[in-house]
Amino acid sequence: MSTTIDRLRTARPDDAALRELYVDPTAARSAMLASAHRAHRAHLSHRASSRQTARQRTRRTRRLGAAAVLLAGGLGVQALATPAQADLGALAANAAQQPADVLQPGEWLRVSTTSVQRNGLLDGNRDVYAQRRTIWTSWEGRVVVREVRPGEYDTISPLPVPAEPGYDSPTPAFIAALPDSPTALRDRLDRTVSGSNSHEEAVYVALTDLLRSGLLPPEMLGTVLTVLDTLPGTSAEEVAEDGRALVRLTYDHWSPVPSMWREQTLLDPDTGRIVGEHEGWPGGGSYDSRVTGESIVDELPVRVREVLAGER
Amino acid sequence: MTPDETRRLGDLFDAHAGRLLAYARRLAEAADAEDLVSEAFCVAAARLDDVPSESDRALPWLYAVVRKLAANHRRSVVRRRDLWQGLLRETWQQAAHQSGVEAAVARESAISALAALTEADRELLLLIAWDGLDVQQAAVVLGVRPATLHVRLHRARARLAAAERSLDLDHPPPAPSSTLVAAPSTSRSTP
Repeated sequence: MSTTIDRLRTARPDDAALRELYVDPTAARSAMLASAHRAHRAHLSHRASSRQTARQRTRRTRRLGAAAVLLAGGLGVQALATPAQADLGALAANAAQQPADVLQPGEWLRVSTTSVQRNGLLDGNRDVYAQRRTIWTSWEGRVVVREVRPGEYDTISPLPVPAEPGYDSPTPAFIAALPDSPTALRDRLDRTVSGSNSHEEAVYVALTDLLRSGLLPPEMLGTVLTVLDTLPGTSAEEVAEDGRALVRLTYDHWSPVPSMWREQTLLDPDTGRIVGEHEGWPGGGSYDSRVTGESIVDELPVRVREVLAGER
Repeated sequence: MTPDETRRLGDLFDAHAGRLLAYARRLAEAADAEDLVSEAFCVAAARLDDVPSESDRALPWLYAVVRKLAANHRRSVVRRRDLWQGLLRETWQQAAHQSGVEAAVARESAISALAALTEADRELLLLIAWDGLDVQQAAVVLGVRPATLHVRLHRARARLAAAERSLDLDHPPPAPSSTLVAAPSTSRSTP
């Protein structure tokens, strides 16, 4: 027997000693379970807590503009005959010039989506779920989600308010405090993001979380798109859906299972705002969502107010 | 996730998180290691049916996920070179019959010998001798057949013995003064 191997075996720490490597094992356990739940919801497209997409409010009536209604039926995207690489940099520059209102205190951003989730081999079943969702986000970061699956459920769920805003739960104040130049924003992200399979993936997740919030003012949206344009692993191409030209941003996550895990974001080619998403994960599962409307409202529907009042 | 799935994930964490974190600390900076373990459990949550139900098979399955995640964890690659040394120093257990100085000398001698090996040899020997995995379990972690691992292990042991001879471990180097006091001895789990 080697002296070194003997010494290693003699000095091997037991499980109790190793648990002490955690500063707070109980908190780590809770955080892990929370992360696993989030991953289950987000990565496997149970996106109840996500905030869907872009805002295009242009009229004082604060009603959805016709351009925001993208989808009546299917969720299919057709690539152009020869998909052309999209100029994300030009889109970023254009998006930064678009007029848009900014959510104000006392207002709510209201975004409606439709989605279809097709489970794959890793999901335990091959079910297909179609759902309508409306998400209200307040200036302070309060989020309320209504989810409807006709004939099955119609729920209204206020989400817990995060202890503090972050890339995945931004508020207008949080966004206003971000650097407004692409270089400075990337530098900030490099110093502050973590928790993904790679650093670039963590940056990608933070940037698309910001996009998905729907809270970015045009200049910051342009900045975010510019950073995405320079992010390794990200590609953009021109596609068409229901006769409308869109820009499709693609990112392949690393996955520990054999097949790839692909995330795609559909952008309005004029405003740069998210109009839909696609995710395909190992095992053949997929999730597609499309924005069907968005607006800024002064108050919540009666039913939503009742749920919030009941919570207090 | 269902309540049963949440419970099972929690049980897996209770049973293996400490050992996984120690392993992750050999592969990534301490600040990233907890994230690696948390991500590994997220993978387990997504593939819970694939996680072996027996504890002695679930552990190497989770090790393998941590290893794959770390391999793709770009930030860890550059800086991981000597992480294992810090982890060994931090968690080395002093035997009941040893003084603090004796334990520190044994520890530094072992580290010196292991440092003379290739990373692949060292990883394999640590999985077996330090983590307490058997050959079947280590093969799962490294993604090779047990027969292949047997051969690699035999060769790694031979190279370790050569390193010990060249280092003259009967006269080990003095331990750094800051690490002379080892962690107190506790009950041990041996494979």
